[in-house]
Amino acid sequence: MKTYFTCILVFAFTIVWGQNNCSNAVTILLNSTTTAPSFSGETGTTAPTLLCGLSGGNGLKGKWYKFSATQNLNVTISTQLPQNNDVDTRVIVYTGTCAALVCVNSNDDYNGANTSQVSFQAINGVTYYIAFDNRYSQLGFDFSLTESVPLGPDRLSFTSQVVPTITGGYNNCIVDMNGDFKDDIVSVISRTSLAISYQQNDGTFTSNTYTVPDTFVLPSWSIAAGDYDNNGYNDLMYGSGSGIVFLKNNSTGTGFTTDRKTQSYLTQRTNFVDINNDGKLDAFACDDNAPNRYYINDGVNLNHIQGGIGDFVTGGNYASNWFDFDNDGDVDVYIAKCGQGGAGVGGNIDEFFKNNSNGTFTNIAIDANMANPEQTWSGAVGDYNNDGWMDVTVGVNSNSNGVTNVKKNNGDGTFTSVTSGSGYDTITNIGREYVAQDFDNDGYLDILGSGKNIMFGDGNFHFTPNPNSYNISDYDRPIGDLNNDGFLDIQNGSTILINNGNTNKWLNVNLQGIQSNRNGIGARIEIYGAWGKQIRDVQSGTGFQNMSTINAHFGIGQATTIEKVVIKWPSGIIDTLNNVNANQNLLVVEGTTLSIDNFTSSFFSVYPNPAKDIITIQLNNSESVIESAIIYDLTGKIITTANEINMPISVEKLSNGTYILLIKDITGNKYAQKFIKE
Amino acid sequence: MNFLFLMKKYYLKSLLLLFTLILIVSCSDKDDNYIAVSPVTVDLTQVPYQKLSDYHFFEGAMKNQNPSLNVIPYEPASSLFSDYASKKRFIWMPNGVKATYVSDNKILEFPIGTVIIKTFYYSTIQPDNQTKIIETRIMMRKSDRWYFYEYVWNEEQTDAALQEGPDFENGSSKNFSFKKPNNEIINIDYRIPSESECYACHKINEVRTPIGIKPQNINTNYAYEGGYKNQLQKLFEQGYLESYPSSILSTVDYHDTSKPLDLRARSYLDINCAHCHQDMARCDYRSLRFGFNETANPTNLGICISADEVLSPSLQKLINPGNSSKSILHYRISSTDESQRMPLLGRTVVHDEGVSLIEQWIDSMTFTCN
Repeated sequence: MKTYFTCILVFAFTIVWGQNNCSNAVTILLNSTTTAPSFSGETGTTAPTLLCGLSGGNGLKGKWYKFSATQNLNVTISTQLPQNNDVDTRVIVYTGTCAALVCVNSNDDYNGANTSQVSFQAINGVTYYIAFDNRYSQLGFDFSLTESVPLGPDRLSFTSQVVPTITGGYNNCIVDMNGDFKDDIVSVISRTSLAISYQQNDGTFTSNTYTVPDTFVLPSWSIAAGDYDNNGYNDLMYGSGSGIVFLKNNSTGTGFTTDRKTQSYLTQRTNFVDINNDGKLDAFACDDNAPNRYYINDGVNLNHIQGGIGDFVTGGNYASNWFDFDNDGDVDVYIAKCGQGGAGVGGNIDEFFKNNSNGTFTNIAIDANMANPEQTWSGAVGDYNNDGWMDVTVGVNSNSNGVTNVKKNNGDGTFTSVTSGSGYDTITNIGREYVAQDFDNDGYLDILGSGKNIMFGDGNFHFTPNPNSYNISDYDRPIGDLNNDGFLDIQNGSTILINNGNTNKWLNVNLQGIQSNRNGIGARIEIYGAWGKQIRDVQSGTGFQNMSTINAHFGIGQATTIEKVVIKWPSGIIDTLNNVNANQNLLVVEGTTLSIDNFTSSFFSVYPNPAKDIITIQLNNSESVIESAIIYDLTGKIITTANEINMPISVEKLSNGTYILLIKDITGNKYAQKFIKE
Repeated sequence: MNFLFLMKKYYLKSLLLLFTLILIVSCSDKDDNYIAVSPVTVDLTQVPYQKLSDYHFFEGAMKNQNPSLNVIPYEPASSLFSDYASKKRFIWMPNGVKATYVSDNKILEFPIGTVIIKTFYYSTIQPDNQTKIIETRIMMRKSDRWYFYEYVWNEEQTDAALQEGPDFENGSSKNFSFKKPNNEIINIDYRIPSESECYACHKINEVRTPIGIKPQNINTNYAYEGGYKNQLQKLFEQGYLESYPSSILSTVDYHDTSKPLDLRARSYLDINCAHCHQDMARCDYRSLRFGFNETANPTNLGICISADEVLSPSLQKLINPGNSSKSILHYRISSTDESQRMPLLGRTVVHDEGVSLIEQWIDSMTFTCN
């Protein structure tokens, strides 16, 4: 009797003391129910501090358990048991080791109750740590660990990886920051400091924390990146409730100066884009309370202008998405709008600006059928059906004026809603961020939009979510290729979700503009192959608040070669590459594929070539009329502009070397050819 | 000297003296037909004036904010939190026109020429707890619509200058330190709004409008110079208000602990939130409705309602009854993050007393969500 009693006591002690820290986590078996005693009176416990998305701060005490999977299976841990009487619990699941925990999943309130439930895909041989804390309740509770039926096999899965050098509070910017075209991770810490984690060849990150002059504002509403001084290193733009600030990366990518603009306004989406197509990158900022603002780059300063691109008096401008909708060679802009609807006063009516190619923009939303009344904070732009025309998925952040609306570009200046049957007609979740990318590399654009899931496109405006949701944030979810494997990854705070990929092939296209802005923002990239044609427009600032890679990414399914890659630069220069290998990062420098053979252009010829004194342009097509011509050197500098095309152009004063002649006809088409001065 | 000569010499002066005496005596008679004239000048074809003093809204030293004749002070039962600024509010109307009652919860229908004045000041500016007036905002009703004008006070506190052009397009800020009611000293960049920022909150159906002067908010006694009086009654007697009903569903002063917690919290939410969270206002596409006359209904307050924008697995309900730390409403009013804080504009620091009120209120709720 006495011995029996002692045994019981020892066993009880084990339960009370044995699970208080990660290092003495108690093993839990599959399909079991365990009693976690009350936290009251316990000492020596460690509360979990890596909260994996839970908010409200740490608890004071924790309870730790561990589960080792002996097969691949879907596991659910739950406190939603009737005997718990809706006790307020929180649970976090980790892998890794106690010294280096990696987030798997977490939950606080499940389905509107105070109890918790979390599911995850357990992998054979892996040990999972399960932690509870007393942030909201001291009471004990029971929890179950059961094998659950997965909702379906993942179409695409991701593996979490902690990046310990992500140390700031603003983590929504993935872009190359050291000029090697590999995506890096920007983490803004304070008004005077930011950390950049640079992607290395081996998949690790090395980081630098920069001290910068006071930026006065932080990227509380959005962040964008682009090389506005064309020095080869991307600069940053923070969008805040009090206007914007630029952080200019120096000429070696090792430090920043700041340019705080004095205008104070409620900024939403920010972008870098060459608005007036002069080869110098400008910046655009949506204003939520007034007409939009932009900053025109004169080569020295970024000069503020308000008005002309979204002039609704009380604003309601949430996101701006710059792309070429009519394939005329210049970027247009879609403005996602949200605001007081009801009587239809207009704050919620989207705007759609066609670039008139002369520095002005016209809102053609009504004619284009893009005056969408839905309450949207961003639209996902892309060619979903690979017909060569950019479509727009108008993503809603409230269902009060309709659900997410998928709009197909008809190619004739108008759009038609194809939401019916798209998959978006039957879901009601909402969100701020809608971006289009090919995540499974099958050659069809997918949408990372509302909810913690990807809607995989089939190339015909049908979108299907992954059976299981992903552990991503609803808000900060920048995208880039963080391990250089050709599959796009997603960041969630200090964790990155590395795309587990598949056997599909891919192509990344990295641009270096010479005559155009250095990033090639505004360039149209076309790839041709067994799939037909795919297109991308190079952009900075998509979705609502995040900055994703500037590199153009394509998936090509099981094809192994790309017949042709065409880059249509904003300058009008066209580069063409034939028979490109798949699975590579293709770097294209503007103009390098232009021929100097004077018979290759079908539109015009330049002679003599090489030239000593003058060049004459001869039209091969007598119906065309040339309007103007520009001569660039190979560093992108404009040497001569000529409006009198009938006369020969003097090249006598040019230094010897190779030049690009870019001519424009009266319908706005541009053609380029190299010539040599000797 | 001849007496007659003396009489002649001083005759005129004496007569003048006598005449003056008679005049003074007769003029001091209260039953006389002497009419006091208000010095206020508001020429709608000339406004806005360059200086606040040009309107003559105040007599004596400007900084004393003593209202001139016919400039009537008022105060809503609960007031908007503006980074702990103190406020003085006034209203003036031209002769012969009156405002009319619309409903308890709607702005009075004000006639053309109405001017509403709101001065923002601090009396604990550091060092030494100085009193400084920062700005005076004016709303003026012209024939087409309301106009916003912003006047920024000089350091000498003698006058305030109209903000125009880029200054009013961008707003501005003033940096100073002051002592909060809890004795904590903080430093703020006090924000003086741009016209767009005024318009962002002061609108219904995209039409510019005042916010505070609703019958529900001024159905209280105010200590006027002549004594305590109900504010609606005062406006009526002043000839500013046509009429008002005897029974009005009214807000309370949220500081008043003798009033039910529920009414205090709902009054606080009305004045701090309803300008955006009501029909046809900035945020009408979300389901929250914070007007006092609507918040007897728990659904309008968001009680047990899952937010459109869930912030985390711990912050899903707008109000989680009994649990303020899991209520998005509580989280947002406690936040200073620009993309999460509520109100969206108008404050940069947390209102400790307001948060405490809302916290108490939510934690005392006994609803259970199903």
